[in-house]
Amino acid sequence: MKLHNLLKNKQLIFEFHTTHKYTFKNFVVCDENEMAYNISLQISQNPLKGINPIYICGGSGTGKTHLLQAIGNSIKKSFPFLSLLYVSSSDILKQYDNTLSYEEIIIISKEYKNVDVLLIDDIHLINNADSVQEQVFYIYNELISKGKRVIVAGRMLPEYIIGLNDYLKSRFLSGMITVIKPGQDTIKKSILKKMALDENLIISDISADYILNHFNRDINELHRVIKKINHYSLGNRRKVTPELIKEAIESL
Amino acid sequence: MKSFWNQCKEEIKKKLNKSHYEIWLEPTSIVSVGDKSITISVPNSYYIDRINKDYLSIIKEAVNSIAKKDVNIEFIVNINPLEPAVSSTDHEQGNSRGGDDIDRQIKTAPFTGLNPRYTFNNFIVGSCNQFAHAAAKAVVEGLTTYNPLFIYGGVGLGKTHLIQATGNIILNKYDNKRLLYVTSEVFVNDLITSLQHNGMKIFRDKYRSLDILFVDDIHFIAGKERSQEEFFHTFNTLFESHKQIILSSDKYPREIPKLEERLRSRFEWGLIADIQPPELETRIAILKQKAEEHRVTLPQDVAEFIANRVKSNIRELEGSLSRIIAVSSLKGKEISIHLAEDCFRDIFKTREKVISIGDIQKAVAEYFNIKVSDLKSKKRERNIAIPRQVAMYLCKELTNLSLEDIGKSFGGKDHSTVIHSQRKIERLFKENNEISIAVKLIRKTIEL
Repeated sequence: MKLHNLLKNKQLIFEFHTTHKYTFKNFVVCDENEMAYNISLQISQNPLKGINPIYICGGSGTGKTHLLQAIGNSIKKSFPFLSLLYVSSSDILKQYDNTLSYEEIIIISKEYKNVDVLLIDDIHLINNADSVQEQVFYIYNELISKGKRVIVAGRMLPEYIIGLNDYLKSRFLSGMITVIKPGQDTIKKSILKKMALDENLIISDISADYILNHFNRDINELHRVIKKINHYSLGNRRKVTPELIKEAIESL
Repeated sequence: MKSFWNQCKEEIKKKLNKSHYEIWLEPTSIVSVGDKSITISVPNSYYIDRINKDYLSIIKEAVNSIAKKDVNIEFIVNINPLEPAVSSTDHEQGNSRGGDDIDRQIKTAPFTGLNPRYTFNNFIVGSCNQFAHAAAKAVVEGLTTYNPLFIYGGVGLGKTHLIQATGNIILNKYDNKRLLYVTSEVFVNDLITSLQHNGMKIFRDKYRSLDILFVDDIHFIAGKERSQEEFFHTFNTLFESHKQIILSSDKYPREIPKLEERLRSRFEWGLIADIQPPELETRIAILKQKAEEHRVTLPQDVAEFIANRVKSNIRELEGSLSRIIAVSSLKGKEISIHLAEDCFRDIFKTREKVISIGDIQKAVAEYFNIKVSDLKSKKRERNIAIPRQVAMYLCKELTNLSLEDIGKSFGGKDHSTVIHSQRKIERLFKENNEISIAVKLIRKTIEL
């Protein structure tokens, strides 16, 4: 009975959840991410072919999640018969929580082993969770031996993830590794403007510079700032001007 | 027979979308050709549905046009997609004609868990693994009674390859040996499923009636109480009836944590052979052979370049090779030392560590031969101000920190100082060669 409930509760997780806003079209390509972009594009056109696994490495906010989800969305569209799964390591950790019996663990792992395309985000968060890493190892082996596609993203290269077991490091290093470096400011400016536009905000160069000079310049942070500005402007019923942006930022 | 099907495939390829062809038809192979029908093997039953639904007419057309007559097409599921289905009929009676016959034979071929891709031919022997290789060969010849044969070595050094190759060669050499290759994971899962479904008798029959049992990654059994107990009894039964047991592990038995004492001592009864990381010559040989398998030419300097940088592990060595092959086809450039440098720059050099302001300050101070505290001071002498500006510039370039935070780390300067520094350094780049060289060198040391 417990097992049954478990499966029922877990069922939802095995549907492919992605945010549709992440596509290849709205990914801003620059020198730093071009290779990662090209590889992702190639995978999405030919999911079960070529070098495996793919490891996308980049600091926070360099667009790893965007690429993973763009791959997922694109495959889902062009190859609807392939089953795919996008998970972050934190999802995996939650799923294999400590109270599970080994029987239950096997059932969960089995679900993972049935997918055609597995996308794991933020792999660096899995460090230090030995028993979960063991399951990821089994899942990985099974998928690779069946010729399925595995794509992993993490903040650092596998060898620098402290607490990641050697058997996983070595496997993640056995395929394509592509590094995205922090982008240049011009690129960030265009990303910033694009993000603003998504919220129906138009910001001037001066405002964009102002934001880049006052905040952590990673994409997630910038995203948060844009949202705040939008709220502030709506809340105060005022147009978005450089002054308003300054006020909104100061109120943060 | 093969070339006939390849011809058909070429014909089909012309008529189909490339990616559809690669997914649905590329993995198929021919099993038999009869007078009126041919049998095609496909990886799984979903393929049969899908091909019948969408591609049958195209296939039929191609086959008929090449065979120049009307031929029936039948599909069967190949249980081991990596193995050409034809070879599995070889050691049976051999008078196979129709598709039915083959179908039956494939289904009755005993499951071994082995992947035929792993052979001794593609296992490169060097002094790093020569002992383990010799031990495995001796077991195949049946010359000695190394029981169990325990092979251990770090990750990615070829343990699985070696023991699977041993299995495959035994399978070829002796007709009637019952052998089974499992990973500890399979053993554990099998056991738990059997316990749940009252299938212990079947489980025990399966594992205890073997002539040879291979367990890969045996160290994963440690800490799993019920599995260790069951494996202990499996081990004893096989051992007492003089059946061969071959194990692999990433550690010497004594060093496997949480392994039961009685198992540990049993693992040490037979022969323990280690596999060490390969030496340079072996690494180059491996790269060359792998390149041959991929049908690419690998220049000597590129082989050396990779072999000199990837030292610890064969899996990563092979990974590096496939990476450069992939990049070469992605960029449409031939494999050369330039491409290799380009392809591995990010991975071998920068190593994408998280660069902190402290790292940058240290490197800059070292280069200009001043103290880190000078960088944070308010001193305005040129020999300190310029390095400070260089450091701020690098902080902005190499980290994602806000300009305010950067300013703060330099003794409480504000963000406009950082902007000013950046502009100043960028201007100096154009005027002063010395500065641009300095920045380049410091960057290199930081990113190393």
